[in-house]
Amino acid sequence: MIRLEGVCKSFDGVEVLRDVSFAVPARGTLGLVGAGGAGKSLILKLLCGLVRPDRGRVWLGETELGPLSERELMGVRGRIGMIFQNYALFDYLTVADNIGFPLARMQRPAAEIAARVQTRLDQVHLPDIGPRYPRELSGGMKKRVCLARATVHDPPIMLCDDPTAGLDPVTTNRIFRLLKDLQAQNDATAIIVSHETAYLRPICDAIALLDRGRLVFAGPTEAALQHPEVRAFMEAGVRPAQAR
Amino acid sequence: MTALGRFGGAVLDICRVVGALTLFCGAVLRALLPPRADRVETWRALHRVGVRSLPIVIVTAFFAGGIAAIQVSTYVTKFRAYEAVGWGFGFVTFRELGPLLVGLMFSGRVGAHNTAELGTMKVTEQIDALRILAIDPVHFLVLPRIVAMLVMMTLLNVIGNVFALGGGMLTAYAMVGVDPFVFWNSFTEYVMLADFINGLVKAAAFGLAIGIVSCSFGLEVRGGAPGVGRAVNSGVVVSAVSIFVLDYLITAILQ
Amino acid sequence: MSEPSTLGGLARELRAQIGDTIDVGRQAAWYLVRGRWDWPAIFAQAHEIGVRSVFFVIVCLGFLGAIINLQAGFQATRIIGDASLIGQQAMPLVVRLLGPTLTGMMVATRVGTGIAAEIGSMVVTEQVDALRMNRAPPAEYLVKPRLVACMVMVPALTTIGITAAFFAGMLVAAVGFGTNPGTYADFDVVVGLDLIEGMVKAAAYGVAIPIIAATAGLRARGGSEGVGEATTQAVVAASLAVIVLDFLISGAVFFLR
Ligand SMILES: Nc1ncnc2c1ncn2[C@@H]1O[C@H](COP(=O)(O)OP(=O)(O)O)[C@@H](O)[C@H]1O
Ligand SMILES: [Mg+2]
Repeated sequence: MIRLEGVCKSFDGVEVLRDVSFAVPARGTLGLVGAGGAGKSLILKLLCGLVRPDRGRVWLGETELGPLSERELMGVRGRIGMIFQNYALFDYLTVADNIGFPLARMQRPAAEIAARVQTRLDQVHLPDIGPRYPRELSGGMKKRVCLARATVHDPPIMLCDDPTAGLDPVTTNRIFRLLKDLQAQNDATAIIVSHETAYLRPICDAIALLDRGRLVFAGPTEAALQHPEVRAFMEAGVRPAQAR
Repeated sequence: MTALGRFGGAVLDICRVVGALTLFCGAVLRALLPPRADRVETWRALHRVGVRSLPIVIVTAFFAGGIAAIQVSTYVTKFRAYEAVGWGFGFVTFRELGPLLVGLMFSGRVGAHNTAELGTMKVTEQIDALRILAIDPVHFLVLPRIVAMLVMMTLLNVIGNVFALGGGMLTAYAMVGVDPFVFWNSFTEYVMLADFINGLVKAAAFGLAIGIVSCSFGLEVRGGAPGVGRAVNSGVVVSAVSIFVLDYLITAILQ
Repeated sequence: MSEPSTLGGLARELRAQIGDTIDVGRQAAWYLVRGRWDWPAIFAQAHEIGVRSVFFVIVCLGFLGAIINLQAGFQATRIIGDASLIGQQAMPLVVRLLGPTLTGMMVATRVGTGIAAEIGSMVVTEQVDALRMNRAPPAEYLVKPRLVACMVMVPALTTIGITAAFFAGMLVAAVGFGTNPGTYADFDVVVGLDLIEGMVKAAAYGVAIPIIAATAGLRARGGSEGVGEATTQAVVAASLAVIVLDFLISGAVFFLR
C-alpha cells in the first residue's frame, strides 16, 4: 500500500535521508521510531509529496508520486490524513472550521460538514469547543483537534507525526485508542511516529528504526524486538537503567 | 465601531507612537551624556549595515537616475533645451528622488531587519540577559546601530549619487541621444553644491530617523513570532512617514 | 538563510528569488482563470490592503505633494520670479511618476510586509503544508485573494494619493507662494497619456507587489527569524520591482509620446 524505494534527500548539501526503503501493506500499522532529527517527519512529508526526494521512488497504492505535478498530487493527498508534529492548525479559523476544512475544500454541503465535524468532536471527547480558536486550547486538545481534522474525510491512509508529544499519560492513552478506533473504522493503513514505545508495541504490526537518515531495521514487530538496536531503542524508555 | 470611534482610536494610536518615540529619543539622548556607545559593537554595526545595503542602494540609485533622466528628457525634448538635461537631472535626483528612494530602500533593507533582529532578541529574553550582565541595551545595542545607520545612510547617498549620475547619463544617451559630454557639462555647470548638500542633509536625517524608529519598535515587541512580524510592519510604516515629514521640513528650512 | 553580501551573492540570490516569483506568478495566473472565487476572502483582503492603507497613503503622498510644490516654488521664484505656474509644472510629474510610484512603494512597505509576515508565519508553523494536504494550493487559497485585492486597490489608492498630493500642493502653493488655487488647478496640463501612464504603472504594481511579497513569505524557513527575514526581503524586492517597473513603463511611454 505504501512503499519507499531507495529514497535519498539532502538539504543544502547535507544528506538527511540515505537510501531508505520499506513498505507497509494495506490495513497495516507501522511504528516509525528514531532519535530527534533522524528524518521521521521528513519521511511522512515525502509520502504525501510535500517534499520531493532527490533519488528513489515513492508509491501510495498503485500511484507513483514522482511524476505527478503539484496539481495532480492534490488529488492523491485527499486519500491521506496527516497529523502534523506541531499541530499546523489554522490559527485564523475556529476549531469547527479547522476540522471541516478538508470537506469544505471538497465542496460538500454545509449541513453534511457540520454533522461530520460534530461527530468527530464527540469522538475526540471535545464536544463543545467548535466555536473556539486553536490559540485558546491546550496541547492535548490541539492534538485531538488535529486528529479530528486529519480523519474527518475518512482517509484510507493515516500519517501520524508524534501524536502524543508532550502529553500526560492519560491523554496519551486516549489518543492512541482513538487512533486505533478511527483506523479500524476506515480500514486505513497507518504510519505512527512516536517516542512512546510502550504504547507503540501492542498497536503496530511492524516497526522501523531510523538513525541519522539511515534505516537500521524495518520488519514485523516480533522480529524487530529481536534486533539488538531496535530492542535497545524500544526498551530505553521503558527500563532506562537496564537498556544502557 | 462607529466612524468617530475609529477616528478616535487612530488618533490615540498616533499619540501612542509619537509618545513612545519621544521617550525613546529621551533615553538615547541621556545615553549620549557622556557618549558611551560600545566601540566594538559600533564598528560591527557599521560594517553590517554597509554590507547589507550597498548592493541594493547601488541598484536603486542607478534606476532612480534612469527614471529622473526619462522625466527630464520629456520636458527637455518638448522645449528642445538639450543643454539643460544635466541640470534638471541633477536637481531632481540629488535633492529629491535620490535621497527619497534610497531612504525608503534603506528603511526596508536595514531598518526592517534591525527591528526583526532586536524584536527576536526581545522575545527570546536576550535583552533581559544583557541587563542581568549589567550591560545597558541602549549603549550596547541601540547607539551603535543608530550611529551606523546615520553614517552609512550619508555615505551611501554619496555613492548613490555617483551611480544615479551613471544611470541618468546612460538613459539620456540611450533614449534622447544626449551626448554624455553635453550631459556632464550641463551637470557640472548648473548643479550646485547646495543641491548636493541638500540631499546629504536629508540622507543623514533619514538615517537617524530610521535608526531611532527601527530600534524603538524592535525593543517594544511583545507576543512571540507574530509580534515580531507586526513590529516590523509598523516600524517600516512609521519610518516611511517620518521620511516624508522630514523631507518636507528640510526642504522648507534649507532654502 | 545566508546573507548576500557581494554583488555576485546578491545576483545569485536574486536569480533564485526571481525564479520562484515567476513560478508563483504563473500558478496564481492559472488559478486566477480556472480557480475558485472565494469572495469573503477577497473582500477581507481588500479591506486589509486597501481600506486600512488609505490614511497612510494620504499622509505620505500629501507630504510629497507639499515637497514637490515647495521645490518647484523656490526654483520658480528664484529663476523667473513668479510662482503662479508651479501647479502646472508639478501636476504632470505627480500624476505620471511620483503619485503611482510612491504609492506603490508605500503599498510595498505596508502591504508587502504584511503579506510576507502572514504567509511566512503560516509556512514556519506548517499551516501551508496543511493547506497543500487539503486541496487548498497556496497559490489559489492564499495568493489569489491578495492578488485580486491589490489589482483593484493599488489603482484606487494611487488615485487617492494623487488627490492628496494635489490638495496638499495647492495649500503649499497658496500659503507659501500666493499662487491662486484657480491657476494652480489647471487640469489642461495633464494630458490623457499622463493619466494612462499613471494607471498602467499602478496596475503593474498591483500585480507585482502581492506576488513578490507572497513569494517571500512562501520562501520563509526557520522560526521567527525566518519570518523576519522573509518580511525584509518582501519590502526590498517589492520596492525594487516598483522602481524597475517604473523605469520600464516610463521608458516605453517616452517613446510613445
Ligand atoms: N525543509 C527543510 N530544510 C532544511 N532541512 C530540513 C528540512 N526538513 C528537514 N530538515 C532536516 O532534516 C533532518 C531531519 O528532520 P526531521 O524529519 O524533522 O527529524 P525528526 O522528525 O526525525 O525529528 C533535520 O536535521 C532537519 O534539520
Ligand atoms: Mg519530527
